[in-house]
Amino acid sequence: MLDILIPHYNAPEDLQMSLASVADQTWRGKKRVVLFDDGSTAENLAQVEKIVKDSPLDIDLIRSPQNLGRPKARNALLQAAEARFVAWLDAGDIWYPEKTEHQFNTIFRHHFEGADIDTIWVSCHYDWQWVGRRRRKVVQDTTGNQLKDLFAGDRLRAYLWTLLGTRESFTLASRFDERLTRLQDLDFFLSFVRAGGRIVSPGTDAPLCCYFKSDIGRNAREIRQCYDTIFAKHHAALLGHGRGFARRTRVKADFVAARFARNNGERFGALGYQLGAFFTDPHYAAYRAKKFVLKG
Amino acid sequence: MDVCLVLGRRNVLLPKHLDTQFFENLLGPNHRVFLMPWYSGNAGRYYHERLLNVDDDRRLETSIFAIEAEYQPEEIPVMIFPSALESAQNAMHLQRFLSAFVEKLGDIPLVVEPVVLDVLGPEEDVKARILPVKGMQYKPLRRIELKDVARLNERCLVNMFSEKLADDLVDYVRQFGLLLSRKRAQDFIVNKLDSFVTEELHFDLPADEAQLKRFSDLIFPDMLLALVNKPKRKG
Repeated sequence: MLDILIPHYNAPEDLQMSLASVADQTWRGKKRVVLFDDGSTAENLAQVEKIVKDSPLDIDLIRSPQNLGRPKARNALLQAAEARFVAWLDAGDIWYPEKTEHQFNTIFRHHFEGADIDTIWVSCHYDWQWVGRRRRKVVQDTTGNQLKDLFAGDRLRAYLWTLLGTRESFTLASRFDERLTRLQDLDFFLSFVRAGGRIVSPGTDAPLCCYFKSDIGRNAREIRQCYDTIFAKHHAALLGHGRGFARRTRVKADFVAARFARNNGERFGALGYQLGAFFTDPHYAAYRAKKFVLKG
Repeated sequence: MDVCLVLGRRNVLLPKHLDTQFFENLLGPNHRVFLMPWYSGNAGRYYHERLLNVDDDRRLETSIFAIEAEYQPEEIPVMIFPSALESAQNAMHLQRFLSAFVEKLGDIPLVVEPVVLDVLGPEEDVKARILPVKGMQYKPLRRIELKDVARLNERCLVNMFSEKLADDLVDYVRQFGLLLSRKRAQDFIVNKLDSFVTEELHFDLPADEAQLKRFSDLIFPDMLLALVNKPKRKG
């Protein structure tokens, strides 16, 4: 049995799209959706209740009277999970029909080879779609040093909705850090790998889900602070890859924050993060500036 | 745990030329062919005779694990053993596999629904070959009449014909100094026979030796010529 954990907040139409993609899965085992409504308005909650009622899926709706925020919602979902296997999805993102089938087959292959399946998460390649642009495939490369690759964020990215694993495997990463209003995924992935977990890929090159990306309405400062919390929490692991790598990782965080600031019309804020990056690691900042100019 | 075992003859139930949908339609609702994803190739995933070598690795453990994860309570996993009853030794292999299955399941009781093809002979003979297993229960034996199952019958007939003609094709190409494996020969014949079925030319199962000889004389030269003149594969 598979429990699919979905947090939701004030986006019933997006939720409907996500649930439709769950219903379309080719995997034929028993699945249950655990939906945590994180204090949506009465009107939106009424819509969610109607969607749940009309859906062909087995859905357990948990209602929170107030908005607790994403990390608490995810912890509540983890606590509500009962099945042997767990997968995640965010309202507004979708799975392609063969996602869970490929991921289960990967788990069975690892079991056959003698691996401890309670220490692996099956991730997958995914499509990334900015609002108004074309989809592009993003490859999850699990072959390298996973801790280093998660910090760097280029070859392996921490997105919970790509994952399927046993419920036991998710306890390896402990709980979602409730201080992190953003980037809980990254912290959760880092904790998992540091605890001895391993992320594996399914045996297909095809993307298995799609992330609809938008930076609008997200606070750049909040994101940069969350990065700082994560870097402090995983300080030893970060420094383990050298001071140069740690410096570069911080600069990359500055560039991510600059992107959020720019996409939300905070030009001076973006400039501030870019200048900060330039003073920390001028070589890398120059490389990013060149890349930005060439890309137009 | 309920499991359905389809037992038959190798020349009828060769998985390469039969797909899972045939069995699921044939066996009725709630029956789902169990696939072993750790093997490559679609047909190889339901060539369950591999499970009979229970000592080789973790194939049985993983099968039980996958069945428990993927099957709904009302669904019955189906496993196909094309040659499990063809000889006393094969029947003992099946018994050993079922004993190991019972052992791995522990406290969960195993109930087996045996399904056999009528080509295996009289019912009493078939029952005698299904050996008892301690701690396991058999449901009443179910027989599939080939002639009553038109679609499966057709596929099985293609398999049986290809099985009968494969050695002749190997000998035929050897006359021209060419070597062909029996397995490939059977594949070529199946492909050829499939085109007959498409044209609604059907096979007569009790065809005698003389008829088969006339038939092979007709198709072998054409097949060899097609192989020799086969267009080069791109890329």
